[in-house]
Amino acid sequence: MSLLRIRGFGHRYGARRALAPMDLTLERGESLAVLGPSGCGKSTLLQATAGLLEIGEGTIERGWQNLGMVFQEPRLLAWRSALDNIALGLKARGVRRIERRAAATALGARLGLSAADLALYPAALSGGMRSRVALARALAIEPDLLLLDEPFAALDIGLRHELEQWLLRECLRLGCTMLMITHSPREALRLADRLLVLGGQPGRPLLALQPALRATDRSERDVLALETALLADTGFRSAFGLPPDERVEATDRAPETAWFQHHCLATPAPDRQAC
Amino acid sequence: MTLRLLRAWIAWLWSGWSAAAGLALLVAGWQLAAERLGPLLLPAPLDAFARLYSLLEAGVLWPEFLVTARRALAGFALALGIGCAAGVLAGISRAGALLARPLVTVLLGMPPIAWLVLALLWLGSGDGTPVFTVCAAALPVVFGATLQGMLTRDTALSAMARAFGLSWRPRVIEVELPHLLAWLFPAATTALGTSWKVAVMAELLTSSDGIGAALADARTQLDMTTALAWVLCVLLALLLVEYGLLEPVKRELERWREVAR
Repeated sequence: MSLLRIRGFGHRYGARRALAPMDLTLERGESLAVLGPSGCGKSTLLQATAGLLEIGEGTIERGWQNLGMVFQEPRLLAWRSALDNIALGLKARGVRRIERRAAATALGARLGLSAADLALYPAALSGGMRSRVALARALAIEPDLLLLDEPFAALDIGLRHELEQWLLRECLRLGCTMLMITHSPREALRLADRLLVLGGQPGRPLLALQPALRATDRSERDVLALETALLADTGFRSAFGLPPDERVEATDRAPETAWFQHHCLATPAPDRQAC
Repeated sequence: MTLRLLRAWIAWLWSGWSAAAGLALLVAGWQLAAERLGPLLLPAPLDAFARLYSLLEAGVLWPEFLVTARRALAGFALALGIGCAAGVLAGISRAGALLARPLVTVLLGMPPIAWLVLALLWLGSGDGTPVFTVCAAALPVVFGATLQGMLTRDTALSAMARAFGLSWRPRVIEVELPHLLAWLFPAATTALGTSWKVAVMAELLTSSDGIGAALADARTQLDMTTALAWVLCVLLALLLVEYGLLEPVKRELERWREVAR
């Protein structure tokens, strides 16, 4: 059975339709990045998967036992120490205090947080440390499905790269499945095996991309080459409302054939030719 | 937790020298004013303290103090219970909040003396009147703060807790309650101060016992020193509860806030 199976899920906020009915399947151990411009329904999809949204249309079959989630903002409890924040999910699962604190301390140490850092309240932590705590909180429960909502958007490129690499290693170790949403093609290419591009109003899947190498096997050079190819892709540009790049078209036409298995799912608007 | 509270309490008392200096300045000002106005209009602080001590020695102080404390605390406890419950209920639904808001304004604007007149007609001159008046005066403060706390709940944090599988009870304890307490605690401190003041006022006008009644007696006998001794008694009790108990507990509960400043 698939870990996640979405069939005909669509959503409206009042009279406004945010997401057209769509299908999505995620197998165990896979990682998928959903990309798209603001307002295309990425967050709606993620919230519905996490069970934070009432589903009015379609079905979401949940094959996981343990769900971890990292939000765009760290969403830490200001009145709890970093250690207790990391251990929150374990507490919800009834793990004894001494055990959950030991697990949180060990995980914090792997993320570069000392015992002194872990004793601090979130207000005393830097932005980077808060992101580490939020990431550790999600991984402390050893999730079989990890949902990521642009978790590193506010971080500098150095820290972002460090946390992305750490996350890849941890996910590989735990064998967890990952569903992330992001604006950043580079982040998507660093972390995800497959990419799904949403676009249009209301949002719907426009492109499904599968690079030849899995995320864990890609070097930084591969990521940059894939990003260049992706940014030259007419369908991708169209999804984000970018005008066609004449220079790219003249020199590297159709790079996707070299790098991606490329499936055009729909055109973003009737007047645009995406594929 | 108990040990940490005790340590915080001792540290807080030790840091109280500046507050003591402020109080000493106040007493010095009182002494100066007393020397200018004379003992008939304003007795000197030492005389007032001496009278307070003699009231204590004569065994008059404790019974009256306990009567007032009982009424003030009963009214305060009622206000806290009803105010919290009503605030939470009103805060759960948007319509409830909309309905409750003007009610808070009206109740806050209603002078305690008006409640007192009504209570006297309804409940007579027993314990009921001061307790009701204290409750009516403290209730809107507690209710308003609880309602505001409920309305400013962080839905993003609640969603996070739900995503991590926290069930209803731990979610309330971990996420909702600390936020609500941050609103409620300062309001409860204010309400407690109000309770003391209103209890004494209610007794002065309606009762035959308690500090308020003792104050009324001192007034009829034009005994300024005894009147001031009773005022001192109320003030000392307030200072003791506020700085000796509430403030250190508040500091400990809101330690996470101090870091942010």
